[in-house]
Amino acid sequence: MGVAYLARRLLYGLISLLILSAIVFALTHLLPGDAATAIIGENATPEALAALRARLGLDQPLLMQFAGWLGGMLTGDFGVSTTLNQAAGPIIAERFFNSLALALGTIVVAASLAVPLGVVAAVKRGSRVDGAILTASYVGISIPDFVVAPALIILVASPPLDLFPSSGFVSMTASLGGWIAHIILPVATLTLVLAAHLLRQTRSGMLDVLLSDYIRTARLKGLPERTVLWRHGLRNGLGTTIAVLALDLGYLMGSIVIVEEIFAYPGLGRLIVYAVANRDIPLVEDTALVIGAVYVAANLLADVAHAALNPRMVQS
Amino acid sequence: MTVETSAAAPQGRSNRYLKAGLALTAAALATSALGFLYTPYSPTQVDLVHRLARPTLDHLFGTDRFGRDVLSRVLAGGWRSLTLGFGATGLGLAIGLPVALATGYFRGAVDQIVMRFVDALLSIPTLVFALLIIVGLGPGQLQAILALGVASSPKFVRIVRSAVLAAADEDYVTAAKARGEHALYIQYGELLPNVWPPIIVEASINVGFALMGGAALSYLGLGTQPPFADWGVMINEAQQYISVSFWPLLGPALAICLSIVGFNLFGEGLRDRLHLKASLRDV
Repeated sequence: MGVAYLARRLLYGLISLLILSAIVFALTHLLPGDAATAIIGENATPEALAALRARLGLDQPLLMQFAGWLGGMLTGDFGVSTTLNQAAGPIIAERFFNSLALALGTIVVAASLAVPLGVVAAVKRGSRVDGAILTASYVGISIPDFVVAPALIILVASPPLDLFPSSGFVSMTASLGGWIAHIILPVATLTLVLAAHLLRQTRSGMLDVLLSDYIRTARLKGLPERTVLWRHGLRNGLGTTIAVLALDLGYLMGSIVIVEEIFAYPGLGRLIVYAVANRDIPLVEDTALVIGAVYVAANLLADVAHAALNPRMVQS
Repeated sequence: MTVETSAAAPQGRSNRYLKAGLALTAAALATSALGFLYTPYSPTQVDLVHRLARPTLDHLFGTDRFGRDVLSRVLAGGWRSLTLGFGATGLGLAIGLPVALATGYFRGAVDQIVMRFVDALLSIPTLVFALLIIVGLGPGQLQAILALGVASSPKFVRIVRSAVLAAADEDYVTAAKARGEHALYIQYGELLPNVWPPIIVEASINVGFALMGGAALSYLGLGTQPPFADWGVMINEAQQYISVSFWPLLGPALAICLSIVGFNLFGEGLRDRLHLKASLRDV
């Protein structure tokens, strides 16, 4: 089983990325203002602009430029940042791993909080416990990250507690303790945002399973409730949760943009904000595409996990 | 993939959600309308003697770093924030609805191609998509509305299309086809009136998210530009002085949180009331 299915998913993922790269390229090249005007300003002489465009290759036909950019990305050449005057590849790689640490930390913490709560809420649906969990998650969803972060800073990163640094970054190799101290508040902020969302999805996914025919069959066979829940319910609910986690990664990447900016955390989110604010077009394109690739890869992984957990799904 | 069943959404809860949501959205709209006509102080009146003051009877939410009255600024900034939310949602619908109706109705190869584009666009977060558009348009409130509107349109295409697909085989559509009605008439005269419920629900929830996204853009300095302020700009300005005083943060933070809760509750209550199912993708 499975290989053909996964190959097809892989192909879809790649097509998605190809289309995304075309859209990203089109947006940054067809909208007014190109990299040359971004570098020397709109008041530059036409001659200077033309010379710069020629140097950057912007005078080439668009299709050639697109092929050059995409081909470069595939061979590891991400082009040159126009504001930092450095190769974009190494910058993005470093930021990518910083963001990955943030995202993975958040997913682990959020999942271990939200999944059990979501399952409890689903099992006890309609009860006070369910109501309390739902209401709490509701509040969590509605509070923007840029409100959660300052609130956390006020609570734990200011006097009198002053437990953690409220911004900045220390690399893991320089000081493990410093790295952890700097990553705690960004992870906490992202966790609050993600956990609420994940909890609601887990609850819904579990409800779907619990109200399904085969759970009813298992109950009718007279199996103890615990067996029904653990062996039949969770196994199937887990597949949904994994799919939700992968989808939520997209949600998380959006939040990362804001949270990294607030905490001055050098990841992909802060990089794209920098690139947009300074109109560093190569850096904008590369970062956006990497963010898209992370999402596509995560969903592919989720499909693999889902197929492994639940082989029957693959056939449908 | 669908999830919630009506059995899990008791009528009482949906009514409570709906009422609370209505009350909060009405309050947000009323606040913004009031701020348009009246504020206790001028929202730009500087008072360097009373900077970063804590709340008093004279200044219910305190003053900001220039001694400007926070309550007045929250009131005056309301319509800018709400315009972002409503404007972006309206634009997203204006783009998404025709595309979804056409692809859902005609299906076939064009539908497949359009949906591949939609999937590709959904693989980057709405905010990142909006940033890509801002690169070309530059910062500003109108630009932020355009960017967020375009960026939220793929979501609308997906949601509306699935509703259209579900309705496309109904008898009234078959009958309209048999009568020889024009395809456009069937889309807008027959299908649209029948797929409205999920659209209203999603639009309402999206206003909340667009409000958040718009404030996020303003927070990043890419939306509303100072000296004009919306709630996102105010939160950003307040956060810079957070180590001195956190009072200026309270007003705009409360305003935006309560508004978002309001639009979410309204949409969710409506969804339960109409016995619609939640999609996996949204909240």
